[in-house]
Amino acid sequence: MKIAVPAVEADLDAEVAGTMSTCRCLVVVDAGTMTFEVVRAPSEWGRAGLGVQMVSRALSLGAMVFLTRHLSPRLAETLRANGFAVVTGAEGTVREAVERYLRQPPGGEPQRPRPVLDALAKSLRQLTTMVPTILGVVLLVGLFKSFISRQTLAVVFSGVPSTDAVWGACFGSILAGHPVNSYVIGRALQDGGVSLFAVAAVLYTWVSVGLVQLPAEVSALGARFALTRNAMAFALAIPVALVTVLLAGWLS
Amino acid sequence: MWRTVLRRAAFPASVAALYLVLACLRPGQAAHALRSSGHTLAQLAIPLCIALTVMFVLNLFVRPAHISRFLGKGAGLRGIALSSAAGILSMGPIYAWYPLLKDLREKGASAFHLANFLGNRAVKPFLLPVMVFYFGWAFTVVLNVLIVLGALATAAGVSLVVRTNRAV
Repeated sequence: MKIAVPAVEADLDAEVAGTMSTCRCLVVVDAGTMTFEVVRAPSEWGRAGLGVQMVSRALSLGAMVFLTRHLSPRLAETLRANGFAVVTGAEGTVREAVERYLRQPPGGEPQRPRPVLDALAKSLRQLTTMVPTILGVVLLVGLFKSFISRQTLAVVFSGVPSTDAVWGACFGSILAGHPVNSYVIGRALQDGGVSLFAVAAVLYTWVSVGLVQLPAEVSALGARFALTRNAMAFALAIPVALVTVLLAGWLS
Repeated sequence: MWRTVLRRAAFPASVAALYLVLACLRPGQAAHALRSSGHTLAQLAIPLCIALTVMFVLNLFVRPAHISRFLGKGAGLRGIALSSAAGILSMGPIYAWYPLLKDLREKGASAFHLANFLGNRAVKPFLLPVMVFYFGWAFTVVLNVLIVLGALATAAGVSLVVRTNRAV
């Protein structure tokens, strides 16, 4: 959810502006991550319609809630007609106003915070999201153990530490999903006679290297960033796997 | 909502269908596979319950907003520690984090911190009980320490190669 707040400065810790005419910008806050974008007030502030233009820009950024200290009834009506939820009486900084709003539904009584129940509900939701995939992977691992022989696995995973680590890194780089699945698959490989060197490389690259999500990472962070990061993580997987197994064996 | 349920059920349902096919072709092996899966699932139950407990504690004390504040703030060792902590504590699919990372990059977060965050996502505190159950304490501790160090090394390499775009 995105929330627009008129502020005196373009910052979450800036004061909420008293009126639209005294604000320097609209801070559009993403309530989930508390990151924000800014819609600057035009220099010719005071001309009719400019407040509405700012609000239209905030709407185009996805804001659906408008928090302010005071608002003219005409502008409030315009906002509501454009789908905004309008809340007046906001005070303090932008951050404080947004956090206070999130604890209180518009027009309703302040909700008593229920952090324990909310955390439990979120945890159960996260677990139930994982469960179907875990179930599928466990069933697949059962098939793997029954239908894939050790001899078949030994064709790829020969038992040479460096080679096994490389193949494990390749395997982990291609696959994606929740990390717990990599633990289940890693254990299945180990039970099938594959060395821990390969398993450690699978666990390392499963999250660190992502060929499946590479296009999304390129889009978000740039090709040079994404390709360099993935290539380096893949290369590091081999020495990490070797050191992990040797050191863990020495410590055990 | 039903679309989400169906999407999540598609993978296990596909595997179940595969079982049905294999049960017709090789019933003995399919039955053995099913017994093996049941055994694996039973073994996973307790570690997953522990994982749920750790998830609950993390959700109680850590908000996504805290994580976004960790990233891009602070220089030197403090910044490194914060971006590492952010990666370790972050949950959910990576796709959900890309918009935030893009936003932070545009606001001036360094390539080092962003790469360090991504590398440290491989450390999952709430799944450590599962890893310990499967591979033992020594393996778990050593691997996770090396993941953190590997993330730092990767981040250093990325920051050498990439120029960060400063926020306008």
